[in-house]
Amino acid sequence: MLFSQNEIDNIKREMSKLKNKVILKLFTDFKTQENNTKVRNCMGCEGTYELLNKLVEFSDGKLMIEEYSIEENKDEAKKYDVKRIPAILFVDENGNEVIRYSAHPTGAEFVPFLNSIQYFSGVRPYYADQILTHLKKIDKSKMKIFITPTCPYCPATVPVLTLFAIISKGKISAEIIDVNLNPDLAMKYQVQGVPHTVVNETENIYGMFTPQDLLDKLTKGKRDFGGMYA
Amino acid sequence: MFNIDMEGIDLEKIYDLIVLGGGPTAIGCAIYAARFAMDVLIIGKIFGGLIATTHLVENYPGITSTSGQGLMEMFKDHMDSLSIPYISDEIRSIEKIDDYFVLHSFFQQFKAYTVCIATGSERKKLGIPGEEEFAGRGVSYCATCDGPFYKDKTVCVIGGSDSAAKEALFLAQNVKKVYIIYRGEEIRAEPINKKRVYENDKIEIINNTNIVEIKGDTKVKSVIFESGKEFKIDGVFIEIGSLPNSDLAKKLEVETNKKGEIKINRKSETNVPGIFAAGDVADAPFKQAITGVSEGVIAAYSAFDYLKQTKIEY
Repeated sequence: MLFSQNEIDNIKREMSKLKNKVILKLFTDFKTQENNTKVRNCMGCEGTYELLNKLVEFSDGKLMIEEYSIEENKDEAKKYDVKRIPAILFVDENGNEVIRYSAHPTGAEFVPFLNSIQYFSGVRPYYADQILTHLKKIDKSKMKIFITPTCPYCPATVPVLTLFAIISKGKISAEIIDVNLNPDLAMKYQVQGVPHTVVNETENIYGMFTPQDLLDKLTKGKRDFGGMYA
Repeated sequence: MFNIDMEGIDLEKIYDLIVLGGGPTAIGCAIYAARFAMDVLIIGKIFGGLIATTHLVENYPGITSTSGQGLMEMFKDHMDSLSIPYISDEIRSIEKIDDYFVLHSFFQQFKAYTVCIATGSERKKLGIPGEEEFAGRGVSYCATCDGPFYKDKTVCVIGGSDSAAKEALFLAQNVKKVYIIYRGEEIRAEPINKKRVYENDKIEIINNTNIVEIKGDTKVKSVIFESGKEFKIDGVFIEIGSLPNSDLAKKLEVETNKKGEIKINRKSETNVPGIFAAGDVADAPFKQAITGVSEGVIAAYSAFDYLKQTKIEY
């Protein structure tokens, strides 16, 4: 069983908060069999598919999944430059990618993932106003965060990035990368600890950070305190 | 699962109690406050606190063995069952206005008649050359987070406490070799963990040794002992104790001791009426999850008692 009854109750409660419909694009390696069933072989693909479908079941029609195979739907994979699976893409109404999970969001990563779905559905995030105030001062940025499902600091850091991505409507994009599923990427970016965040392929943030820290980083210190502490 | 939006959070309301912190102490305090029918809100920087970074908890009565995260999952379930709101934020200052406190975070402000500071502690740093430079590139403060990156490598744990011993035991599951480098004569771990360390072939203790520098290129390559000897190593895990997160309290003129810990009495009261403190941030000599929970629970009761005396409707 994927979830205990207690977890199911909690998930149902959280899913009931969704405001608008959310469509997630899931990329796996499924192969359609003669009997029309789909077989997924990649590590994490079947698990991710099952997890997302459980969420769909609890969402009262608010969450939908579009599954694509990098084998059978090459055009869609090419369109979003998906080379790693499983990948979950949060795509806005114009087809622009806002968040990518190159990860199987289980363990400690599950709650932040659920939170991302909530924000994406229009739940107004706690930090929305301050981020919107500073958005003009922030350049278009690409953020990658490396995580593991057992890292205790990662669940506190991932939502900071996804929040910025959603509020900025993709001006800041976020990719969550599970080191266990993508060891080659971890090696490429010389990841030796998590969370490890790469900003625009050039800068690194080691360890946990708060929304305030990220605002400082992205506005290059020109953060406006809005008079709260003036 | 927490309040990720402002749902259920009334910024105009004056809460009976706001608990600051995300660890067991804060949650324990809030659970009792909720059961006293107090309007309670938790504001924490990281849910789980420092114990969530521990891979093994074997001394919490009723739970034979779990991880720090596992323990906090149970706390979370308990908190959820009482619908206690939790906000992930950091309070930067507190001021007293009339008979209540105003708590300022970077983004919002909150009001409460009483406050329990359970902000815990953070890992102490060595303060030596190379430590900051190689943070995240071979220097770590969390074996649970970063241990898996050192499979079949040689690492060291700096420190001689029970936490240091547990870090070494956790790391030994994956790495080739763990050296515990300790400045004292003999490590101070709980006897049960000390025995495990001594019996583990992968762990070796280097006593009476300080390290003065961490060296490397793109990542850590070695540490330098006080004697000048260079010791080759792939990773350095620093576990030399912690510092109380009491800056907020100091700004409010809450009394602290020389270590910066908040002075509390047996009712978890500080010198400032309406401000309580508990757990690692307070001045108890023995700091454990269970002692923190105990102080937090007492703080909840004391806050309840304080409100009964100061608020007419209580």
